[in-house]
Amino acid sequence: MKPEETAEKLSLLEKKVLIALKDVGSAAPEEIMERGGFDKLVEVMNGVSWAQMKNLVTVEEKSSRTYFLKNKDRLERKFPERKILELLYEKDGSMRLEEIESSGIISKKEDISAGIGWLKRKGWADISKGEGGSKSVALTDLGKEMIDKKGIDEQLFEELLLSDGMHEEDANSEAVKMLKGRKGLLFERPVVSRTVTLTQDGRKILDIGIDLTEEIAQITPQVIQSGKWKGAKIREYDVQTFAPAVYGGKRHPITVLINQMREVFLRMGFTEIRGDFVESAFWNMDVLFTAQDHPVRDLHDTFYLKKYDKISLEKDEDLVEIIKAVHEDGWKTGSKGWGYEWSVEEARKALLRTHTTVNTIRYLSENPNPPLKVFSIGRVFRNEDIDYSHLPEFTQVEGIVCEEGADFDMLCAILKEFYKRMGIDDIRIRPGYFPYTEPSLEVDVYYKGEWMELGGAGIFRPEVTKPHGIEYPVLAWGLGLERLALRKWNLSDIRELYMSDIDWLRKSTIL
Amino acid sequence: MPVINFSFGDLKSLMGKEIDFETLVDRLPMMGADVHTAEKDNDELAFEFFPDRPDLYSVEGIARAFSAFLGMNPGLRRYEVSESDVVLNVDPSVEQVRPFIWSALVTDVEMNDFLIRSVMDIQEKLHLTVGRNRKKVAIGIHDFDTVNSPFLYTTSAPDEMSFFPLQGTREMTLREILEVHDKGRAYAFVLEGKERYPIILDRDQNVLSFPPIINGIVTTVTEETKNILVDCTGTDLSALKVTVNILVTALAERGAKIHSVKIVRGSEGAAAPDLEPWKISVPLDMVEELTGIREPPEKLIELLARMGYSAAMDGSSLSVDVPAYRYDILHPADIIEDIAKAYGYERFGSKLPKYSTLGASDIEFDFWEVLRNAMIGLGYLEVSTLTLTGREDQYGRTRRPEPEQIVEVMNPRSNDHSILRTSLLPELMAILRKNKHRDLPQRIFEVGEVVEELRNSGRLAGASIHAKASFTEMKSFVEGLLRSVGIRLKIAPAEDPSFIKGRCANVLIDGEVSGLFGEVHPEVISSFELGYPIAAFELRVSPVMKGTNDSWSR
Repeated sequence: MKPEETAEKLSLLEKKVLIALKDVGSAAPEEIMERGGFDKLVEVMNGVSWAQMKNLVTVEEKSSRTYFLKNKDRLERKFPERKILELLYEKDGSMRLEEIESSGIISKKEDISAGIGWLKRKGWADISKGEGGSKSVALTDLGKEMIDKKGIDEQLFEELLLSDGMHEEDANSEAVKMLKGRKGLLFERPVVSRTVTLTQDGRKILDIGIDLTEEIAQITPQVIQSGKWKGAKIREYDVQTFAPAVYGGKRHPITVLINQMREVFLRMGFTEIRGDFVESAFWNMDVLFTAQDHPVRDLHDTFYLKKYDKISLEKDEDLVEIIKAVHEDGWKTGSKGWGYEWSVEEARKALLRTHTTVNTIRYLSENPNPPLKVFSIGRVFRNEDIDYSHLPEFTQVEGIVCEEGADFDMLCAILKEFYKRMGIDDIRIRPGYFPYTEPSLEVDVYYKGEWMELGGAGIFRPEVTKPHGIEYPVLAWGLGLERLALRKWNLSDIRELYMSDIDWLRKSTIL
Repeated sequence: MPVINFSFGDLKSLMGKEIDFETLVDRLPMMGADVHTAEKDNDELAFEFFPDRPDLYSVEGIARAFSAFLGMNPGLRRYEVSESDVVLNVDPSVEQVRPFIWSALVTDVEMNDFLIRSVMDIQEKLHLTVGRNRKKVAIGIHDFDTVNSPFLYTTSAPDEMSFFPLQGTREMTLREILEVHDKGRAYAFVLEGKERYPIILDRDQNVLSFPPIINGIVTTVTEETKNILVDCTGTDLSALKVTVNILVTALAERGAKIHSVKIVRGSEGAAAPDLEPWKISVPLDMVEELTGIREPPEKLIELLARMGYSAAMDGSSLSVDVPAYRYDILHPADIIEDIAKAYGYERFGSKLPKYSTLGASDIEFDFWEVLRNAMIGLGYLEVSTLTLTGREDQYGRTRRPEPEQIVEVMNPRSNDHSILRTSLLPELMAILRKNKHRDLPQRIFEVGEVVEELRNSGRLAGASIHAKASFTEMKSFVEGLLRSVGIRLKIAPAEDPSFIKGRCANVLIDGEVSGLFGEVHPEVISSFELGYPIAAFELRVSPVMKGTNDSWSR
């Protein structure tokens, strides 16, 4: 910024700081306050720090200390050696130690010994051993002299008693040392003294000349209502100055994605369905022609319930018979079946649904008549170890179409349309495998510059549809939402989605 | 899905033709495979194949299918089976233990590194998939020239017989093998509860195998082996037959010759293996109905040849010969999928549905959105947590008693994910715990499902944590929230162990308790490792939706 522009945007406080420094070049904030006609020191400091950011002044900080006394009211006004000195003077300059102790002028014994110690150290008295081992204390000439005078430590002590503190430069260092020699008397605290100095840039601003017309910094109700703003100068801001970030309430990214998917389906004429998490193996597996010894039914893959471990199939009695036949020999579906003995006990097992296809087939069973377009989005459960790409629970999206003329060609066309509406640039369809669809396919999508596997599809096997009297092919497709979410929000760990860092949520986009 | 590792050079030599790398990585997936690892300058490749195609679990099987798919060697591959005088007798005692055995003799095997590796790999993959971890099917491969026919598949008591097992250090009894030997310990579960164990012996009582655990050392296949005897035992005869077919045809692809073994069970005898293709009839109109492909029958027959079948017209159907190594053909639909693969998946996708339907959303999910809008408007941040959670967070740390009916899984990987939540609030607490070092205030909410009496139920919960979070804050909030959806609520004092006594209230909508709010108990806050006051609420969505007295309540 040019000096002219800088000058234009100076606040009143900054201007006053610069002017205060004009003649002296550098000064302490207190001096600037006086010279610049400030009311409060804080105004000086604000002006200085703004000017400092614009490189108009520099601030040099020097740390030093001040000394002070604590609990002044409770301190004895006289040191013990002074008290003993005065007592000795009264008693003609010499006493035995016992006499001093019993005189009662000093209550604590350790203060007496401290006092005797200081008397000796200051050279005010001599201590000698008399008869019977008792000690006697006698004033020296210096001691006699000192009865009318004060020692440097006493002077400092008295000054400190009258003040809040004394800067180290103002205190006699010898006296300080002496006061420090007494326990718990003298304390110190660090202080910082600042010197503000005008820089070259600051000088340039002064050379341009500073207009001290009063300007308005903050538009207050008072400014507006009083009409004070008329003719006044309103300070211009540097619009690029940092402003703190604001994060409002918002939807979770997974919800954002679910809503987009729901919109796509609804606009394409689909009806939303839902179901419960707890299901029977019958509906989740057997009805979908998953063989009873298929590995997906193992404990390693599917969560079974501990307490409510069986689900009644009474309502589905007729269907149970048909499904048994489908598995064993194909029933009337034109299939060979799996050729094993089907167990209804296995089918009664209660589990956590492993896919939303269980909702779909339940719906189809009750609504076998075309045309049908339905979709569901919901949580499903697989017995997985938790790591960056796996959770035991995730969100599955599923759509189906059943109508006269529905076929594999239509399925592929729907997929292209569906993914296009999802904002996917391109898709690739290739063979896949699912136990309950034939033909089956897998979808690769081109998204954010990369190919990724995103979903599978197929036509329900006759073994799945015929038992419900469904006449036309049922086209079905599904995808896991989390993979797409990870790419969309550039995450590398699926756990971020469901055990979210609030900072990430606060900053994530709602697109 | 099984990953098959193989050498590109070996594949090309088996296919008998030069193909380039791009053809492989472009076309093999279109036949039905996922690229696992494939780099242009690396001869070692890895592809994943689908669980319905065990015939592709070897480089030989891939070469056979791929050379047909590319039109280099289309049609049904025929394998000759010569008779032999080898006999395998089956003792009736196996019925209760491991009822079936199937076999084959393969001669003129030219051992090399590729073959040895491939045979090992096929066995392992077949054991895991078709074999259901050796429970349903287990394969044994023997150097035929070390033993003598007739063979006997019988049973033995655990301590009755001993032999020197492969990968063993000494002769062991069957019981010892199950207890001490690595393979014995790994597969003992298959024989759990059996009083006798299966065993295969030769004429001189040499142990060929203790299926499905381990072979005897006598018949170890080495680089010198010329002739191989295959045994395959298990519980499902048709699976055994296909397994043997997959294995021996793979060896035949490398020039070996297949001979039959006579399996004698009482008065019945059967020749194993059986490589005769079987027939399935595929109606022409079903092809069009399922795929939309409109092609003349000759073209369909050509497409079938690309998938390794031979076919002929039979009235209005195609009569298709299915190779004896295919395990996945149950229904004409399975053949039709193969027609679609040969036709090319990339060629589909031309017609959208004809019928217009009226879409409809789920009204409760719509109402979730109404609630989210209200919450967001009030400055709350949405979180999403897992339904599958732990007792410790749901009940222990919240001081709440565990309800009688909770959904607990029998086989959790961790205690933190072992039950379905009955309340959202503890999950919000867990999110706050995770974010204890983040700036306050934090105000979060979730709309989601809990499970009560085995049924899903929608809930809305919110929590606010900061130095001045209070009952009053939450009361104002809940009243404001419900007011914004037109609800007239009543508030009554409540007690809940998660909240401070006297600072917790029930929300009544039309006289029904529909939720609660209050100041979270300090003990709960501390047990979630937090140190600031929390005010929170949880509501049932359905009474709120009904209480709106709007179209939502219908």
